Amino acid sequence: MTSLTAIRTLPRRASGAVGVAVPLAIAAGFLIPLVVTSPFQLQIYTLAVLNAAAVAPLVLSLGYTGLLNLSHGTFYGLGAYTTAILVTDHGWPFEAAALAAAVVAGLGGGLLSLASARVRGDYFVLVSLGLTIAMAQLLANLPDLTRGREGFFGIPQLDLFGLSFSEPVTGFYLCLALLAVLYLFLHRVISGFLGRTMLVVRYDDVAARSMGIRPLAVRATAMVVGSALVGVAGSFLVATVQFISPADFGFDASFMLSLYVIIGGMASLPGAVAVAVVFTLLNEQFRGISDYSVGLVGLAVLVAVFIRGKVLRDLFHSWRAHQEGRATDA
Amino acid sequence: MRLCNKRPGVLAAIAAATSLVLAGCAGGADTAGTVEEIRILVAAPLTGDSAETGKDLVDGAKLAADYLNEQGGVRSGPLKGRKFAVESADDQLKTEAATTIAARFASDDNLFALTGFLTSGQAQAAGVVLQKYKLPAVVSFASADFLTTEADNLVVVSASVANFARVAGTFAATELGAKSAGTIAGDYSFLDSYYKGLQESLTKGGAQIASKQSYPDGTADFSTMVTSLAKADPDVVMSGAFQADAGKIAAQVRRAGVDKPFVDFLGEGWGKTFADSVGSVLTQGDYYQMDPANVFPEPGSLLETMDKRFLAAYGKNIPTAAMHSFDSVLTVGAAIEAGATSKTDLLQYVTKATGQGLLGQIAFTTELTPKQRFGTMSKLTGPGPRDRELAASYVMNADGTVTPAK
Repeated sequence: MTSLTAIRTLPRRASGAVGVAVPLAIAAGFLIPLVVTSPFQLQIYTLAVLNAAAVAPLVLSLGYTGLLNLSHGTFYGLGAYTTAILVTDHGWPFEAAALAAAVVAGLGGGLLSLASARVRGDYFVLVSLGLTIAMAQLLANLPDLTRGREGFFGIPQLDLFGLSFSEPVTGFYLCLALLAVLYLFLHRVISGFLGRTMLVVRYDDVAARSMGIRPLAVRATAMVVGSALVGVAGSFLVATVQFISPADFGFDASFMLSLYVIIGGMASLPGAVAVAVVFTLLNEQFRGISDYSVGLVGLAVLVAVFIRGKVLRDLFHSWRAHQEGRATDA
Repeated sequence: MRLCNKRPGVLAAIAAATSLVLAGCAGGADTAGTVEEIRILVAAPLTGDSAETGKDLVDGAKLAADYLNEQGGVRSGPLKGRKFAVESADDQLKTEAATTIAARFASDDNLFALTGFLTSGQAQAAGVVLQKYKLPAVVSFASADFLTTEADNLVVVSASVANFARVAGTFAATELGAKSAGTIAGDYSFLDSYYKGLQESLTKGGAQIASKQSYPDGTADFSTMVTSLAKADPDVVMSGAFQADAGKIAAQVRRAGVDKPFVDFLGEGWGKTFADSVGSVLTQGDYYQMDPANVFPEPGSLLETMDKRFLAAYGKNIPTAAMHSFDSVLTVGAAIEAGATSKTDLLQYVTKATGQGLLGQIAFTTELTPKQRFGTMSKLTGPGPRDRELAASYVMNADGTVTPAK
């Protein structure tokens, strides 16, 4: 393989490697509590896994249908708040509350997807941004329901099928199991007919219609499924942290989740999951230099764009052509 | 063949993942220190909009550690002679970060105590994690009532926020002679506790709330609320707004022709942000600020000494946040001198701890709240942070009563 070919095929080979490594890493993750006993490390791994579980469903709407949805963090919050309210104030079991969270968040996603029938591109981004800001205000200013800006406190210890989220090891296993289930489900969806249909809608609406595909229905499906799944992830967050506040689900949260998908390669489920885990771990490792964290994320976006946009390959190609031209002249 | 081509990439990815896991495992190593030291971890926002207050929290804790070490460190008890050291962790004002910092504290045997926290939400989130390991935290600045009612492992150094409002209400009714008050505050759940204290103290002083206005977070135009408030013609206007909002509200109140005293009951502390928002109407009418501390120290007092040292070290008078973290470290020190030997038994000695702090005596109830704290009302005389004169000072008691200070 020549060096030029190696550079040209680097993104594809890297993508293939990540595609194999991430499922293996998820499976290997079940061994982590056997070697890591520190509560600090388990807490970080649990949060990293939860972040990955929250990011994964966004691949459907952002990656596969091309809707730049800046409300994903809001649906995460809707799921979290639904669970917190139901288990704390109404005594629901966690399993039922998690299902309700999926329904509420899915409905929210469905409503937002209706906007995609009227507006596209930048305007859809603005609509989703508006929803995120409005929902953050609502969560902060409905104290009787949400405990207001100071956050939702008093959430009891929760368990799922007899396994307690409050125990660091079982809590980690439950969150990792959620990630594994979501990953398998989403992988099945995007590898199948629905995934290919979403990609057609993303690239060409007209072509999709000519093939009998209804773009709005496809986008709505992606939004509803993605939102419902992140709502369940929100339930797991509540069970793990036992405290949430509106600030956790504002614009920053949605923005970062979208960036993870973009850096991971847009329509790459393993890429998004890997980036979410890596960034969460790095954020903890480099808490002392968190002043620069936003800059590092920006740098990662630039690198991702350079690689995905084939900028590096083209630069290398030009340089190589220039060198060959000089050699011929000589 | 395809698998062969992929193998180096797969191996590289697995190696990268493994290195991350190993890097994660090594995360606590940076906290290693000598066992001879009492290491105190301060959680504070060191980046973002609240970074200045976060730095004040850390600096106050460092000042306290230096102060204790100058006296020989721990002066009595099983750990006599040990010195104090302070570490900081950026909590980014995020719940997630608060939980990992709490977990780090639980994991690291070299850390003796966890303190700091600017907001009650973060303190509560950290408390939930610490509860699993039966460990406490000494909460420096946050003081929502639910920290006491919902957790039994959080020592709250600040007075109850209901008492903040009691100080302002008592002052308005007794010193200003108000019979009616118009209140305006953000529509936040934690203000329920404030209003409870305000209502009680006003009623006790023979006054009542004539107009109660609230606004959602993010409001910029307060004219509707100000108009309603002006119609009630109260004797005082009482603000439960953060200083940026309070300044705008004060400006709009004055422009509406209401020149009655403008009295703060939030106790956040007004500074440059308030003065900038008020603008030129600062000279129109009187403004009274509530501080949950004695901000007019007597000559030779511990507070005056530390104020001078803080000024010399950091170029400004000691802010309220730093006073709270200072007293948090002193609380840990006093608990050790009372007999605590590790972070697991710190909580049981907190109620036995005694000493003199910047906020008042170091003495806690069985509810893990301070027995007494100072509260002062001061009148603004200019836009600078020290342009004010003492109007009244009070003692805030744990039983919910407020009495004039001697």
